[in-house]
Amino acid sequence: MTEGTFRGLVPAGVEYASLRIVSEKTETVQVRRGLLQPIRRQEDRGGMVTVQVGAGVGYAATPDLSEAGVRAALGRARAVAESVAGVMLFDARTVPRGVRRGAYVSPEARAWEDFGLAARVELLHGLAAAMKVSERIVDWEAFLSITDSEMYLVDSDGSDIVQSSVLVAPDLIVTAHGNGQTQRRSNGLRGNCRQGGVEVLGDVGFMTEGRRLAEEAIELLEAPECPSGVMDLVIDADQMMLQIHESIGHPLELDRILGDERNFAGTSFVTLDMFGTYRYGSDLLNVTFDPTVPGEFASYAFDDDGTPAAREHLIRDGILVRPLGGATSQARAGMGGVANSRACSWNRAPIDRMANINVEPGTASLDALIGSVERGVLMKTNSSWSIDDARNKFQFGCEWGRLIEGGRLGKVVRNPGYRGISAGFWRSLKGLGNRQTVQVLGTPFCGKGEPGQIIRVGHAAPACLFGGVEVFGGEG
Amino acid sequence: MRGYIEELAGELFAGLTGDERLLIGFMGEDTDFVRFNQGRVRQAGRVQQQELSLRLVDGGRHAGVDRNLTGDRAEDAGLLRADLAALRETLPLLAPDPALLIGWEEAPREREVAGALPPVGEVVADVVGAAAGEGGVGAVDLVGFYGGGRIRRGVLASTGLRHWFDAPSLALDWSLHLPPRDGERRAVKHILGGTSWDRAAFLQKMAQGRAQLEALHLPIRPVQPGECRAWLAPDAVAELLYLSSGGFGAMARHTRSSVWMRQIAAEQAGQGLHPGVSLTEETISGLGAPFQQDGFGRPDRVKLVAGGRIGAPLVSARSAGELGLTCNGAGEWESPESLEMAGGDLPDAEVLAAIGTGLYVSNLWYCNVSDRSGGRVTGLTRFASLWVEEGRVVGPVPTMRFDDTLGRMFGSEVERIGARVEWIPSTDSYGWRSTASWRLPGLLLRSFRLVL
Repeated sequence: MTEGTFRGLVPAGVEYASLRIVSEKTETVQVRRGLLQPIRRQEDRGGMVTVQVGAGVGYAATPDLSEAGVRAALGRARAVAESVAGVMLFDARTVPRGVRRGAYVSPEARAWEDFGLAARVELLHGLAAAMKVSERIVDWEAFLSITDSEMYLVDSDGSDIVQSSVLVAPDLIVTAHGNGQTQRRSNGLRGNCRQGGVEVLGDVGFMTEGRRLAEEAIELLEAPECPSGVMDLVIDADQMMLQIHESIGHPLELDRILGDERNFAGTSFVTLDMFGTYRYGSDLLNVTFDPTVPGEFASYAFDDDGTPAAREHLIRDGILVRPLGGATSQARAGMGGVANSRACSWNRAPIDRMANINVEPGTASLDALIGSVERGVLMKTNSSWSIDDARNKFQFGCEWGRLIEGGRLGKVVRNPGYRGISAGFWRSLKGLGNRQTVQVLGTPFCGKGEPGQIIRVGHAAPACLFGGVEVFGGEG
Repeated sequence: MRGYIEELAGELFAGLTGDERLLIGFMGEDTDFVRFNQGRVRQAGRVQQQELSLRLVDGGRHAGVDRNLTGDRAEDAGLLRADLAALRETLPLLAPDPALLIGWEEAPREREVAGALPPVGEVVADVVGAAAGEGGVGAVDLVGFYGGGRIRRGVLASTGLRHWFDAPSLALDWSLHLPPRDGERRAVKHILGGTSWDRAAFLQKMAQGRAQLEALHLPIRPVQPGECRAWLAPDAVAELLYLSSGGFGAMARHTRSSVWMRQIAAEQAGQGLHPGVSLTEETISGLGAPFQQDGFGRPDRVKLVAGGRIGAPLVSARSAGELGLTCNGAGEWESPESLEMAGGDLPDAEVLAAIGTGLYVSNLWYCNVSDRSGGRVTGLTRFASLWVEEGRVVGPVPTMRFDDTLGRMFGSEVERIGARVEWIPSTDSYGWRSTASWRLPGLLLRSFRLVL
């Protein structure tokens, strides 16, 4: 449907209308415990119609994208908009609009068409078999999902945007059991997600890491528990992903700060008056919203309201400077934000979401970070995450840990975990890894919103050193 | 809708050749949704979605596709025919699956519930009016979500298998808030669900919520990490079981990944859960479909824990095929949908006295496994959690983190079990609105470990 055709369908009396079509094709291959699991293909296509009448906004999601279907959806959305106009939380007319046109295509060096289903199945069988290194391996899985995603947005102002991405989610998961312990090693929350082609598999180590993960899982069975106490903590990039996500990304979402999520996902310890002055972290901390990183999982050129996306600092030299809020939240809060009004699919309305939220690297090598620690732990790969509804009191667990004593790596320890409070934790950042320690990661599993939305996010970070962290281990 | 799906399925079945078999799953829902903040409407709209899942099986080989339907007969039929052709081309690329198990010959299961939900405008008017203080009770800061409409599920197979589920469903999930004090949130939470809108019940819960807010005007009572007595209200128990109930699945137990493994080992050493703890997947009294997506019917009930001892696992078709077990109606994730826990002997009116001095936990939040092998989980208090001294509420507590084992919370530290069993409809709406609902009592614990 062209922008002109859509405009022709918008009924008189409607001040603004848009149609956002999302079309996704996904193929998932999974080999678990030596068996190919049911091959899954998913094809999903539909449109979300948004209508503004006076102060009110209404949404109608429809899989029927014929002219008659869109016309009917416009009617339903209009009826909703009219019915709620008198009881809206805010006046929709205060949200600025503009005519936006453009396109986005994700990078792809080697197309997936060159690596079809039979090749993927063969590859995953091989990768899974490589993880079965011992009888103590009780579960082993190679997973690969490829999604072709297209978004097309037109509106009554004349906007016309098309974005297309190829989304890759490879994962290796291996579980060992013995000595009364069950220990798992993996890529952590499908952390190796990227945009791109077949080249992603090599870039993230998918082809070679299985055996190492399996051997580490077995090693953990006999490893001592992580010690308890207050000590230094080096967090590698694949756990930094989760740390950023939970204790920077979510608290900076402007709709949380404005109270929209208080009934479900929660609010934030951050308040509007903190922006511009609040010391969120040490001077080392620079955090960006960056949808421009090639291949990062949530890169795009426009958000789902059509706002052009650009790199922005959220935290600069430790000071909180900008929230994660799209056009609607910016208008409500009276402050700037970013282009992060996003929906997980055609059947959900956009809300403020993370996209790519990255910690900018420093200058220290990983060896230098470790070398500066007298007593501490290095932790890798998230296994457990929990944080309060204001995104403040957190407790995270990792799959793998290693003691640091006298500036040197010591024993491997199992069930490593740490807890803290966001407001304060980032101020204890005292070492920042260089570009060589950075990993560009992401996850497809960020949940939020009512009705619920699970959305893709990206996180790139270096290894980081924090001082004075409460660390603990398992029950033994 | 049923006729439409039958027509599409019939056409696909007619196109099968040789030994091909086809399993078709259907999911559909119409949803009116409204989000509320500050007692007013934040977002509102309507979602219509239907999806067919085709699984083509031939000689032990199988492959599947999920496709959402447009509602246009010719377009849907054409797309599905193309899907079937693509699956037919895929099968030769795959080896036969030795674990394939489908309920081809299962007896038909049907649950159709008549009735219509009210126009969403009526619900909005009731909610906005109640929050604004109609009746002179004063405005209150209400945040919440309403989702309502019919939910449909079906399974059809070329062997003649037919399951169908079609029911109205709604849930209003809301909280009432006081302004934060000292950075701490102060709020109470309620859920109203079912197959019809009960305005009187909503207004009653609103009045109850307003009364509960009064306790939150008391000064915040700081609590230090350590062990304390605690009452976990049914909603809090639900969070613990929601997190851990996947551990009742056969594959989780087989791969030693279940968070209940430590408890299963303890049982063998004679240390069961509290003898009053009994958990049953009670499909017969649940809201959901009495069948699962591979065609198997769900039995009326599966006993998961009886008299404090962990019993049979939930077994999906996949696990049954891989592990040589019998499928007992569990879905892919082997989690209960209609979990019931037997009540005990502690009446609501005696809960505060029974606590004596300790914590009243109305809700828990963001629970996760903190030590899988150790059976330990962590999470936080949320909404109206209160400190009680000598049987009287002293004040709300700051958000507190716990980290404790399931063996303690459902076993050694259980002092009494609540007499009232609360019905808790799921408000989960990721992708599709859930049809799960649980019936749970509260738990009085001698000791509950707070860590932050």
